[in-house]
Amino acid sequence: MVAKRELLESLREQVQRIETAGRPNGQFVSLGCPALDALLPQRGDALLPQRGDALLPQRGIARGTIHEWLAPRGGSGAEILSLIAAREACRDGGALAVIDSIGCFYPPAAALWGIGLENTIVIRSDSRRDAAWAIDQALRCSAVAAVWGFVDLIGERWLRRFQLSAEQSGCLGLFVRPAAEAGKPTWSESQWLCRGVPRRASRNFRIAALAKPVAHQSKDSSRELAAHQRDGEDRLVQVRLARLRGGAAGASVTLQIDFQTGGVQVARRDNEADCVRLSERLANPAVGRRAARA
Amino acid sequence: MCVYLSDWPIQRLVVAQPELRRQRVVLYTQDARGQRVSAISPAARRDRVRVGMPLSEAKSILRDVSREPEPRGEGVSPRFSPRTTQIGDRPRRFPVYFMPHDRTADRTALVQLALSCESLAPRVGLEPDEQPECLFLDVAGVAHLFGGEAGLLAQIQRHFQQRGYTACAVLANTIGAAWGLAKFSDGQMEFSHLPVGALRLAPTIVETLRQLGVERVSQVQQLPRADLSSRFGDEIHRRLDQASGARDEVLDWVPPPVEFYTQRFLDFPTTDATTIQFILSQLVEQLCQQMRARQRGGLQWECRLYSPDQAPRRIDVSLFQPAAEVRHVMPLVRMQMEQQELTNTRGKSSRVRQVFDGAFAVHHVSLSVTQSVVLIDRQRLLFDENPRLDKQELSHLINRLSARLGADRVVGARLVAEAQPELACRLEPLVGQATARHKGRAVVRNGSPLQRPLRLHSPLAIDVISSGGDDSPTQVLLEGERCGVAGCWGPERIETGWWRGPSVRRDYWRVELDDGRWLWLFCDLRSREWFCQGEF
Repeated sequence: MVAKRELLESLREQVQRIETAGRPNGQFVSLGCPALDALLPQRGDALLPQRGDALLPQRGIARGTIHEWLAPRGGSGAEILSLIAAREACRDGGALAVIDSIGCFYPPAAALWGIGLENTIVIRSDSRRDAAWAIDQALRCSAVAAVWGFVDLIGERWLRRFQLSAEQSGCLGLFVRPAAEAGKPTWSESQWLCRGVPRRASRNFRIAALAKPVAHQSKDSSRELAAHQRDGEDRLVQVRLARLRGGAAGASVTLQIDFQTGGVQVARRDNEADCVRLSERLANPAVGRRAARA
Repeated sequence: MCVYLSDWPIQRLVVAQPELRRQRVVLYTQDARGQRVSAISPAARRDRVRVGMPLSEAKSILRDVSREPEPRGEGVSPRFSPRTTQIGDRPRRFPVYFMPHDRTADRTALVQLALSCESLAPRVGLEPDEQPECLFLDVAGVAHLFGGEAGLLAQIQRHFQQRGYTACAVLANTIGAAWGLAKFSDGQMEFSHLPVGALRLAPTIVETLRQLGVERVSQVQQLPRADLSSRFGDEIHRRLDQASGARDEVLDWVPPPVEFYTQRFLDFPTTDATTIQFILSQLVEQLCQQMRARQRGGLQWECRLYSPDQAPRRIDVSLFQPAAEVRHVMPLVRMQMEQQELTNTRGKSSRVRQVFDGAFAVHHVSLSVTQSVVLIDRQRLLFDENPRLDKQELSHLINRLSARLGADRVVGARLVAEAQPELACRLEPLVGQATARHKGRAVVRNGSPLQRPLRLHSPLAIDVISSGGDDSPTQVLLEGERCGVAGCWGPERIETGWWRGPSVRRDYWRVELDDGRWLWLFCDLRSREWFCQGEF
């Protein structure tokens, strides 16, 4: 039994070595959120025993790979999380190639997320074939740090070409795709399924806060109100690692995107409850006093 | 010879966008008094729209004609505003196009047209006017090449007709007479019988003469010169002398833009693409040698393939960075030969794959570099160079992408200080611009990243149920699906663009739907209608 397990481990390592042979050595890019990085296997001596970076285990996605962010519909948060990863990839000075087949990419928003527009190439194409060709060309270019874009329907062969091109140059492919692509054959290193999490309480809180005249609020409660209003504008996105080549998938995490800074962190479980309590407290000060006495 | 292209701005647009042909097109400019009509199509002229009138007046005239209210969503900067009208019992749809007048594009297109006349005249010039509509061709001593003056005129008419332009060409002894006859002849070939405007006088002088009852050139010629000088200065004398040839007139001829040029004539026409590519590679090598000797690199390359029985084919290659190497230029030329851009019969620009077929027999190949800049060689490091910083690699990528997809499809983004979201960014082609990339100050925008959506599309009219004193949305009917609103933040009021026409007044809301999606909606404060414009 032990021999069989050792054999499997040995074979797994060999497959891993063959699959990652063409990749740049020891270059990993953070996804811009430690919670997401934590879902990925630690790149240490267990996976890459003969590499020079074995003593510096890192988390993140390896350069020279392609990754997919899946979303059921637009506006689910997949674009934001993938763009944050692209921003991290471009920190070494490489260019960002944006594949914008449907002409809806909005550069001012990307600039607010920290994307340097002077180092960004926006590629628009009339057909899927042209888009695929442009992605392949951009992935082959060593001066491009990441290729990011909306890629809906594309064949498995193209994805294989993308993977080989990315391995050759060390470029990172980050694609936003429909959730229907989950489970289909792919050459991506990972697939992340994103879904927006609604926060019903935030609206209740906001209406409750507006219902009370500002002049009647104390200074402390105004400050508290402002802080919670900001908190109420944060965005929640649930991310599930739907596929990971050579690793275990299925892990899930709910992320909170800070409205003010754009920072991404794990969402507080009691966030919604806090909002409700505060709204009740502001709407009816007696509740707050009772809570304070308790 | 003077070639008059009446309504040149309109003609240029119609050739570029054939769907505008025979439509009501109104071009306007912004001046200190507001937006004024600067050019109109004949169809709009028939509706009593006149050049110089306020744009709002023109709109009201055309609205009266159409008898229909303004379409929804105005101010969203559509390219045109279609309206419907009722003729008899049968509804008929005709569009009215309001567009900003791009005078620079007019001049550029006219210069290009002048350059295309190089096979007809050795020197071609533009009318010395802010808004030129005439070309002057120096045809002295060339008429016999076309079988006489009649043959030359016919050839010139064909030349412009093939390009889709309507032109009136007049041959005269002087520039002034040719200009007056081309613009004002109307079948009358005697210069003295033309209106006073044929003398190229200032509009104020023409108006004064008209008030004095002087309407024809012959009447001006009969007036005592001393009296004219005391009243109008030297202007009328100068124009009369120029028209009669008593005074010389010098024109600024359009210079040939070619900086480096080479060509090859074939003994026999060939249809073999490999042979043509081989000849082209030799020509590219010749030009590269010439440019390297002068420490220059080509940004714009133009190749022309001539056939004895067909119109020449043109291959343009624009580069992101200057190149003087065959291995950089030839792959792009090959790509362009395989991906020729055609225009289909409906007039809309479309990219149709066309492999360079064998039916086109080439007997003459020319290659020129129309724009070159100083070539800067950089010593590359042998070790430890970050490949991400290799701008040469990046420029090759941009060149390849632009050659296949088109220069307008590979663009860089530049932020613009505009409050209206769809105008807050400008996309500019990366290739073929030696200086524009570094022009202007960069706009830096600060704020929350979640303030603006990553996907911005044309405003889509939606139905929204709102409640409360602040009109915040509670339900959204999107693509036939009713979605509840879990949260919304706003309104962010944007009121701007009054100088572009009807001002844009919108209340923007960030809306979180029940399924967790975030949308960017706005309520048009003028029509109280809701639109979805983006997704976060």
